[in-house]
Amino acid sequence: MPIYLDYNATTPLDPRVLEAMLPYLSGPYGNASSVHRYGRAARDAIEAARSQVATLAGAEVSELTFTSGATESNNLALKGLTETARPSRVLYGATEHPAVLEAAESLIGHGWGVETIAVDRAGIVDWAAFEAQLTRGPLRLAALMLANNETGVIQDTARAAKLVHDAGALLHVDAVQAGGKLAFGFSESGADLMSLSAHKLYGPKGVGALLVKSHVELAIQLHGGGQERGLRGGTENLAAIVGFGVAAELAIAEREQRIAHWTTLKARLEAGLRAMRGITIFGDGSPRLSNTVQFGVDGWEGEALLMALDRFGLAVSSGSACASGTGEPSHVLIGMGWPRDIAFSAIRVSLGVTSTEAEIDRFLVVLGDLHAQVAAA
Amino acid sequence: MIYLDFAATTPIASEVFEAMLPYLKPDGLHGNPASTHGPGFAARAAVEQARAQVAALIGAEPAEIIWTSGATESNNLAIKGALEFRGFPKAGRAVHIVTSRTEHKCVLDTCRHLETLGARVTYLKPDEHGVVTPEAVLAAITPDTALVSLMWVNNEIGAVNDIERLAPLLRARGVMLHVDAAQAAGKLAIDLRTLPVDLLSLSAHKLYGPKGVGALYVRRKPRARLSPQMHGGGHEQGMRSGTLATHQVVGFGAACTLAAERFDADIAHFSALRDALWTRLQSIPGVLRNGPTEGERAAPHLLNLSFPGVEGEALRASLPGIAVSSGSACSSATAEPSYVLRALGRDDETANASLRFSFGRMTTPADIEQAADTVIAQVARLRALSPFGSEAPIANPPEEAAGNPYGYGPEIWRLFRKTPNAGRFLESAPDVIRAEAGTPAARSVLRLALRLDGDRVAEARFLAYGCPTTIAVGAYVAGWAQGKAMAELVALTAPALRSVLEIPEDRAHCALLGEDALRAVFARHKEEMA
Repeated sequence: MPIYLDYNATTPLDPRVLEAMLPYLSGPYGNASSVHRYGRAARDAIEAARSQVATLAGAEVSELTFTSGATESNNLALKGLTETARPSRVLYGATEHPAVLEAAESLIGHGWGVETIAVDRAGIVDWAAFEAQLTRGPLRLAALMLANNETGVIQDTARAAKLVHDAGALLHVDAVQAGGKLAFGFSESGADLMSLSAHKLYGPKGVGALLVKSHVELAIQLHGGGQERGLRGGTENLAAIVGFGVAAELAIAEREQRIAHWTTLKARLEAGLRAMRGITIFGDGSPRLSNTVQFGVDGWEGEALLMALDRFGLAVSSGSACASGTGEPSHVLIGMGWPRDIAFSAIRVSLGVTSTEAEIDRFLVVLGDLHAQVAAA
Repeated sequence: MIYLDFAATTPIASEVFEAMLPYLKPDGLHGNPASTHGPGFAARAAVEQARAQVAALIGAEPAEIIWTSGATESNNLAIKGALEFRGFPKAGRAVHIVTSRTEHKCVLDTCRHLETLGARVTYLKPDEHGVVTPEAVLAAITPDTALVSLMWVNNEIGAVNDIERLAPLLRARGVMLHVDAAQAAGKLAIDLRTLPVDLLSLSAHKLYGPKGVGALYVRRKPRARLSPQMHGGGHEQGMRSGTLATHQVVGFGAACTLAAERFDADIAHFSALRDALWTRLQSIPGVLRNGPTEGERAAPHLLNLSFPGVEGEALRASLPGIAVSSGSACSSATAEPSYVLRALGRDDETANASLRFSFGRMTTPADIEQAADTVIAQVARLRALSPFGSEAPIANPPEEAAGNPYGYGPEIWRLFRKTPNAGRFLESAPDVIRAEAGTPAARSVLRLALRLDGDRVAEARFLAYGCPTTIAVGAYVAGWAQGKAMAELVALTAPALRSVLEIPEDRAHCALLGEDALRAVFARHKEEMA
């Protein structure tokens, strides 16, 4: 079995999550909109999960809408906020996930001015430029991720929220990668909307959530059926929602020990990388997630290195799984101002709860050997 | 509990569950299908195999299958995506959609949304059986018609539209056709190699697959073009972004293969159950069947019946051991009678007094017998309780019958089940005062009959037509009135009734009905004395 070091792309299910989901997959459970007993049991399970996920995010139960995943959450946030508003401007961070970036770009066709928020070489918002940008005209919304999926760089969204609110606009925060890896609270974050995903925190694929503050008016994007208090139509994905809830509960209970585990492994990994020549750690010096290291390897093209590592049974990524195979360098690194050749050489290692020192050591040995071959050639 | 609501959702077949399980375990099959490494490739391979399985069920090419989160998203994507690709909304350019009044709510809601953006939508009225004929569709086509969206099988009444005849007619006119086939897949043969449908929506959880996954068939030749509705990452040929839920997609694939293998057996099983139940329930006087009654226009797995003279909520509450629906689960939260039945010309009262029975692989002939016995008995009971009903004796259900599935207050539930003091006095009985409150149109009528001994109520009886709370109020009021002096009757007010029976806010009118009935009988007594 390969050594999996791509937990930011997706996590396996925690066996305890699977255990909780099984009755809803194999049992006689109903459509949560049905009013008979099976339907009511389904409804109760969904509300329990809603409470668990809301607790993870430090949000009110009434603020949480289940979706099919973070891509839908981000689309719902950006399109739902702009659909009925008079077109003005939408800003998004230069290092946002493709779901935010492309949803934002799709608004251009509807008359919106869409601009990126510049970040510096370390991946942090260029605050002076951002403040100036905010004053440059009317603004509906800014979108900024809490933790970056490639570099793990953590953004000060509370600071952004203050500035955005002063400009009379709303802040959407993509917290997908921060979920379960960082303690944060929706209520304190200042964010007006926030996206979460289950399959990045040992829950199932196919379910996510959007948190929406009560003062925010959002236009529905998936019409029909009136589920999720009218904000999102469609029969609820019962088993996945239950799994999301349990995964959230475990993430809260085990957050400290998980972070401690990752911090130790990450230090070992980075020490090993720093001992090699020609390695650039992206976002170095910035606050970063404890499980994520993205780095450039001098003389390598990232996709080629990825394939070479895969042959040795090491599953890592060059950046976002959602952008893999495009043949383009990471827009995150380009956005941070890295030259194309360095951006092209990127490898992302992301750690999971079951990652071990032996796996890190094995990765470092294989990488060192591959790196030495290229250096010798 | 007998589950007869397979049209709302099916359980996952064990074969499907077995296929999904490896993708839920941390054994190397958990990768993101978009990742370019071993675990990613393994997940991708599973996704592609499932795509071929879904395609095979409907005679499509694998590349014509786009995964979605379910039929609601498929329908949204098809309709909005097709219009947006044509440049909608664009000022000064008319765009027209033809659909029907009996589509699933997600199609209707999508169309209504597009109307707010300037689209013109024709909602065709079906014939009295719920079928929209190809002729009706063609008659509605205009040069601006961008899309026809018509369901193959109606989810409430099982009416089968003639898509085989309609599709070539629309193709000849160059009009795009979207078909919601969520209730059709696995219930009737679909072969898109020969049938020129452009877009077709599917759902896994109506087909013994998992919830949370669906598909949209998008024809390649000639190419049906759509604008994506969910952006980011460019998954699914750019038409629908988002990480694929491998286990769900694999489950959908397995469900389609199973449906193809079992097709003939399933159809035979479903239609035999449907016919058996109909044969039994036809013995109920006045029962009406909604939808086509026989032949190829009637879906095999659905039976929708109206029981005039009983109130719908009371009927459903009287069947706690049977999971049935009053129509679509997606509309059942609303108290409104089914818009599908209204479109068929049923009045509100009849539409409200309807049940949708839907059958599945696990349904047995014994289930049908038991369900039929229960429905026959409960319709008879409610009719006997009704002031307009039969004068048959009231047969209340046995004590051990299943509990209170809709969560009525305990006292309301007890009174509804036991109906103490229900009944009537002989027309010729002396010293009886009768009065009633409420109207059939409001679906609540309470009739009180008091036998007087001087100024005192010696005996009280009630009859009621209405929801369980109405019936419980009747039983309580009649019991309360016993032994009271006539002048005391007006002392029992609606707030007092609400408090003693724990009647929630949204049923406050039932308490008022009790007060009104007491006042009416008091007034009648005064009149007679005068």
